[in-house]
Amino acid sequence: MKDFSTYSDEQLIPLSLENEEAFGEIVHRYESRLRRYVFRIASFPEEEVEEILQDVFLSVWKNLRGFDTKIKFSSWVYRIAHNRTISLFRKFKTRGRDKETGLTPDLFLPTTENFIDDFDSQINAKLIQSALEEIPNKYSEILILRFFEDLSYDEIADVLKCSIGTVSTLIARAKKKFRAVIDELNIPFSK
Amino acid sequence: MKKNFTDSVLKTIRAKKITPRERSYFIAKTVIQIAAGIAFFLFGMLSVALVFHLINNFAFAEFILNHPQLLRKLFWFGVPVFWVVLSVLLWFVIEQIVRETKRVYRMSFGVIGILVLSIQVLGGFILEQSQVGEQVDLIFEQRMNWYHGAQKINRRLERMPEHGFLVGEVLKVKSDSLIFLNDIMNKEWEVYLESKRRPPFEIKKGMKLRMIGEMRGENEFKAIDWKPARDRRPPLHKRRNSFKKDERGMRPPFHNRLE
Repeated sequence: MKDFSTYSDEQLIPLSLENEEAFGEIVHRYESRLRRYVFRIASFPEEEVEEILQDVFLSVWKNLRGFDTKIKFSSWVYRIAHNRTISLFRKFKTRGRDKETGLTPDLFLPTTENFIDDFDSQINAKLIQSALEEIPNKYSEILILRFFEDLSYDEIADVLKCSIGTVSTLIARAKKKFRAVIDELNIPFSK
Repeated sequence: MKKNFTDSVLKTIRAKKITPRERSYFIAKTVIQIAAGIAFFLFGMLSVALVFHLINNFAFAEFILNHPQLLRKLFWFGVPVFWVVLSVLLWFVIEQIVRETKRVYRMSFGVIGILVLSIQVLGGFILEQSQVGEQVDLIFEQRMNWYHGAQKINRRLERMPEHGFLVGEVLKVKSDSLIFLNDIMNKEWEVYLESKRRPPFEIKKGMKLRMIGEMRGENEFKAIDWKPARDRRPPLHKRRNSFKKDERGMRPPFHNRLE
């Protein structure tokens, strides 16, 4: 079996069309990132996340020839995952917060320095999670993409299909809302 | 676990024999979306051309001046509703093109909206300059009952100079600012042309004109704007019926036929 781990995403796309093993490398590369992302935005039970991920990768596979090379492959994969999760969320009208989920508090540990600059690093992940649940979904989604998935504004614009201006506006508003919730919940906050 | 998941995805692909869609599928999708976009742009421009034509022909002026209460009615009938509908559809089509094929989503919604409307309005203006608006108006009036019905309101006003609207045939051009006109009720009028901005055509004897202005006396009218009037023919379906009737010839009433 050939080792594809040294190939870039863009190199793997044409290779996948010839060899399914190359596509296996794409799945392997994105599986854990997307699993975390889906958990973060929807908190669905483990089995549902598994199902969403299967759907996402099958959709990526089917539409591989339609991938627009002008955007990053990761943005495209995130977009598909985002859309699948949101449509399932709309179907169930809940993000599974009252269900038994596979969530672990460490999923809500921010990955960027930015977020820690803005919000006290002492706030533990569990509190961040509950604060994110308090703000409207569109804001929590964008905060997750920016500070937990570590995507750039450009990439977020491609995932959410909006302008960079909209992304920065949404992030600014989301931070404001998040700050307000933190104050309301009396979460210790240094700034 | 990771390996298991990857294996299960590949297993599903193999078991269900799922293959990536062909490139032609995506090309066809893009072509259909762009064609739909162009078609909606064209319809939108035709609609704008029609609206310009209606405005140019005082379709709204008399309502604004004299019948503000009917303005709402005129809006729904006079301004083609389909323009609004088409604009919504156009928006949808553009959204689809943007979402599925291009990266125009990077532009803000407002900018896209302004661009779409500007292209429609500019295109509509150009089409109106080439008389396309008038042609659309004519076709609609001949073929669409609801449009013909809406125009009836306008025509009723043509018989009401007291409401500031006069239509008729030029009998004589006395000077640059005075003409004699025979209205559609066969009444003769002295019309004073009192506009600083002269419409770009010469008034000649026998010409049909539509005018807005003010009735000054029993036979005097002050025109502030005027346009050539078109012969309004009855809608096609009505002409067809009357033609059939003529073909059949006059038949006696039913009770007479029984005798």
